[in-house]
Amino acid sequence: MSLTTLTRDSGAEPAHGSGSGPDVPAPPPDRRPVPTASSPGAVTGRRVRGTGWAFLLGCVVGTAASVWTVRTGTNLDYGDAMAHLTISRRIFDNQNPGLQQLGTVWLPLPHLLLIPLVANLWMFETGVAACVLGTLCLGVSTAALYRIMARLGFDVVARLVGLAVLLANPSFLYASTTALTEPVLVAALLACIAGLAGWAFSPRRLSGGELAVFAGIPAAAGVLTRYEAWALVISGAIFVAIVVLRRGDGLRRALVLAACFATPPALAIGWWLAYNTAWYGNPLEFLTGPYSAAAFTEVFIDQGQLTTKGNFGLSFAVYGWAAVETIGLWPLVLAGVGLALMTALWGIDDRALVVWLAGTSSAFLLFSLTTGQHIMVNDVSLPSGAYNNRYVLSALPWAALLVAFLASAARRHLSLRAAAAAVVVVGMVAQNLWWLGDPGERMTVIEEAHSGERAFGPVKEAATWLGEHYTGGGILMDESADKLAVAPVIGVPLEEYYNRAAGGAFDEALANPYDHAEWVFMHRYQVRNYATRSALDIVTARLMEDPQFHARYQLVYAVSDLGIYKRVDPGDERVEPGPIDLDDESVVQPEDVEGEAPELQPGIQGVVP
Amino acid sequence: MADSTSTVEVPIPDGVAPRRIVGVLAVEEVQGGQIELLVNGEQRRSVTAMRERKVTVPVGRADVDDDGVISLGVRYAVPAGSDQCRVVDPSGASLSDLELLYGGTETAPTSLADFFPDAASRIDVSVRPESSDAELEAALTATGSLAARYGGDTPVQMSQSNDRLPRTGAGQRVVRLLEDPTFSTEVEDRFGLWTLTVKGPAEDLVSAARTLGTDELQLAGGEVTELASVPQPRDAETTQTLADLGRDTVSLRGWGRSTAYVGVKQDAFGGPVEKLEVHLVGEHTAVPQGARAQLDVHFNGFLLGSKDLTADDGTDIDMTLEVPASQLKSDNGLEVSLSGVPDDGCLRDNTQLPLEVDLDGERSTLEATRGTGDVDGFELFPQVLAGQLPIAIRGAGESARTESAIDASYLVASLQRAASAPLEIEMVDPDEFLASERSGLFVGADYADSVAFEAPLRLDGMRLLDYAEAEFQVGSEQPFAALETLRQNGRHVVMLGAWSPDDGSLPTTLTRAAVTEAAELGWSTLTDDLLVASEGVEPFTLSTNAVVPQEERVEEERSYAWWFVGGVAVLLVLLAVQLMATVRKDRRVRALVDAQEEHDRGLEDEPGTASTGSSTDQH
Repeated sequence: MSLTTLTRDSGAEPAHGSGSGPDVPAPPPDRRPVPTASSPGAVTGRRVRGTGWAFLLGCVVGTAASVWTVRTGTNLDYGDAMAHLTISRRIFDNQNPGLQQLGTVWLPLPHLLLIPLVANLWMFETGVAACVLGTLCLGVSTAALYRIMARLGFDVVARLVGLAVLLANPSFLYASTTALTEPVLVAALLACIAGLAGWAFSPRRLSGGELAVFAGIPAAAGVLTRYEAWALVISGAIFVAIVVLRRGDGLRRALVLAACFATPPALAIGWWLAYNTAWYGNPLEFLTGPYSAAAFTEVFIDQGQLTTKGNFGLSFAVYGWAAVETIGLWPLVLAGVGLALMTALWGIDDRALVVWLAGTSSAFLLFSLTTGQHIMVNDVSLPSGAYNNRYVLSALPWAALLVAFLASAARRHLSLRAAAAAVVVVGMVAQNLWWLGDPGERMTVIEEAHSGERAFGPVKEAATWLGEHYTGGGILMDESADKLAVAPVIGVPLEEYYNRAAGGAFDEALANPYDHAEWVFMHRYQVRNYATRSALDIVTARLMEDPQFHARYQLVYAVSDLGIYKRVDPGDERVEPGPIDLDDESVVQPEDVEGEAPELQPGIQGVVP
Repeated sequence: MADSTSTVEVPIPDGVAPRRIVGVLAVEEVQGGQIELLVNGEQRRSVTAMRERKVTVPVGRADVDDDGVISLGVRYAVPAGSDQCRVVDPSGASLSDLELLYGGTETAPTSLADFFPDAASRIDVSVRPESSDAELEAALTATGSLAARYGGDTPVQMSQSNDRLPRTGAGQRVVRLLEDPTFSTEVEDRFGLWTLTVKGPAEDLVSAARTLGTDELQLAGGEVTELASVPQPRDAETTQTLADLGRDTVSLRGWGRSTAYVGVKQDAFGGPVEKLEVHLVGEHTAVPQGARAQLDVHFNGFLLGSKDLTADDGTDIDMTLEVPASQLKSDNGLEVSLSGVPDDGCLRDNTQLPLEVDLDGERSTLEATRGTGDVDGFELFPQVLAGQLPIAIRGAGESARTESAIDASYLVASLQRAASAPLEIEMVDPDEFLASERSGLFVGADYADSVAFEAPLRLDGMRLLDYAEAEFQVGSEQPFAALETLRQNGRHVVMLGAWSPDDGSLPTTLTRAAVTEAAELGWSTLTDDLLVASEGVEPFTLSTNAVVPQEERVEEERSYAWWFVGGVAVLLVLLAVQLMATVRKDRRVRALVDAQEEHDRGLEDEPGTASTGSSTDQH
């Protein structure tokens, strides 16, 4: 290196040289070359070769996973997955259609994205609609991860390692074939981080508008998908400010650019608050309403089951165990080594901060568990079980980036690299083989799916029977009651239902079922083991003890504590009753029921989160 | 039973006159006709076939054979149709819940050899309220040894010498074990009960107690000065033959369906089992032309495999079947069924060729793979004990200690009956047991013990989750006794303890209720990992997961935060190292730049010399 190329500010100012001569007019700030901390070999232009292939790879893997789960029927094992599909379809297929059907239990974007797909009844009832969305999200996630790694200067081998961590994760692949919100969240998170990385390492100063488009809009998609993305907006804005300050562009410009990044997600949040205000008269309905996460966790707090609240140690253990069972011990070990090495080599420079951005959701979830906003149950929680561990899938990209960093760092030692790569690959294969040895026990996401399959078994049987025998005439049921969110399995257009989502029509049908619904699908005994009071069956509460109802309706199918009743119409062809087991001891007698049915709130969807 | 006739041997106490045997007769597939009840192979009664009915069989002294038993049989005779055709061969009739009604008085035992009858109505091992540890250990050992000798229908338990024992009739026995410098035995009638008193030094007493349930006792003469047990090596290989499991041969005969049952306890393999491979070797008769026959093998009701004997060219049977972990329990049943249908589906007496399968008990094996599989909680016992049962008893005061030992005896008997061979019982110091890595039984545990064991349920106030299935509630201030299984550092422990808001009065009646429930239900039927006895409710089992997490356990989990702190500290150290390296590098660069600038200034000072870099752009 020639001495003549050195300047005093070589650490922070451009290696490219800058027009620092006194007689050369400085270009406007946005046109000046950017002092970057990008790695040698990093892709800095807008175009990143291989992005399309990465997208295709993600789509192919997602398609293969979808074929598997649709054929085995496991894509509908999660009750939440069926509920998401139902919410999407009832926006346009309902006695009371409209955006209010989005409700407040979940953020709206995944449902909005599903709308064109669930318009097809077959795609709705088979769950293929969710497979398509999940597969596209997997493609986006793969491409975005690839672009981030390219921006960070990882070579091709390291990029492939990173993609392998993402695409060889059975839990993530499974989630990508369901209507769960994790695939959309991960895609949004990665697209946002990819946008931020592209902005930070661009050879020219990108405008605030470009930052808003490439990073802000994905962030907006994220904040309308899951609350983890709200945290990413904060960390992303801080990242933008730090990068600008490091460039020496001053605090004012740092604030302007951070605001540019945060504007799209802020607008999205604003829309969400306006939606809550418009439909429920409370901008914070999603936070404080009867279907909010707070209301959901309240029951657990009352029963002393939300033990992570106020206990960071237990929250950390629960989150860590979920990560071990979901991301895998081997990838986590590699990621841990990668994190240590990255800190030692990169410190907290811009590249390291990009990787840390991917850890935002983990920090948010730890915070949420400790403050009691979320509940997660697994083998180390108190009490133990399997519930909500899929949340940690949002940490999978972070692990992938760190493992890819490790692979990239090893490229300087070519002699070791082949051996290291072999160890990584063998370890990954071994991890997957171990998982697949007993997926229902070793992967808590799959374990929860299995328990969902068992829990929903009887109701799915009944729903299938109803779908096969339904000849029109309307169905009265409380879809929010415990385990009754099975509309995809019934496979009947949702406008045939008199349910909570039908609003006033549901009230009328409850008051006078005979004139409205030919079929009634309800619990034969009131639900007792409920997570929230909204899981109580309103139809049961209204009709089960009504002798006139039983005089006019015939029980035509019974399984577990569920029953399907058909109106007895004079001259009607008699329906051959299905299996009826009235001696099932698992049901709870009416006198055991505690509490009253919740008041009906017209227009409020009420699927338990 | 595999044959068309099922038989059972009913032992008759010496001296009594048997009058009637009462039992429950059950038929798997009722097809009309009569069921013949046989005494020593001859029809004594016949009753109409019903799915289940109570039957009484008249018997007399003349029916008792030389071995002191009456052989009671049952045979299902399906009536033939007008064409002399019987659709299914007799099978599936069984007798259970047998009771003997008798008159007369039992012949008094005269020596140690004939002290224990073949069938006993109740056995008490009596201990003094303030027994020494040696006496308690001997009593617990005797309880285990005698429980292994008698089936689950005979209560075997410890009791205090000042307790009034219930009278259960012929076959009731009492054993007293007293520490004494000189070894002696005495059989006597005390308070109307035949009582064996064994006295001796501590180590001899335990050794003698171990012998009580064995055949060695029958070799003892009139004057016994020593009753040392010969160590019996426990056959606990991971490969067991059917003969090892009690079936020298398995014979299945007849058309229709006949089934043989082999009990398979995990304990028989010397430890917990994760997987089993069943290898059945034997022969079958040739299947007549036109007839069909198959051999089915079930494990705990799950079909493992089936062999079509019709299509079989030879007559060999050689089947290897794998039992998945999900089907394995602590106490299992292997069922081999032969199903045969004659040519036209019709049986005619004396015109049918025989159909028969014999499995060789010596060559047929079950090979186990070590591991715990899917079983958990109570079901892990007794196999995790590997034949050894250390018992630690915590008790303040000798009387309380004796009460705890009596509690332990219920559990010993229950565990022993679930085991395939006698357990080696040993009393150990509770603190030493806590500090050790041994699996075993801990009785009389208090709060501190439950914390030391890291038990899933601490002996402190608890509240149950409000489950739909729950018909009970235990309040946080309600005394309770808990029998729970726990795993600590790789070992498995059964812990019995109690809690009361008033620490001074621990509810001993509740612990007794808990262990009585465990004994009466039978260990093999216990589910989950916790049995709770509380006032006002029947003892019940549940999972510790159904208990609202106790504050102590939740608080202990806070320590995991240190892992997080440690990780952050490591990263901060690495960051500091990186920062120092960067600063050092910057200093070097700065020094280099200074030198460069110094050099440039020197050149500028020289006339006719121009600097490089940006200054050249000025030209």
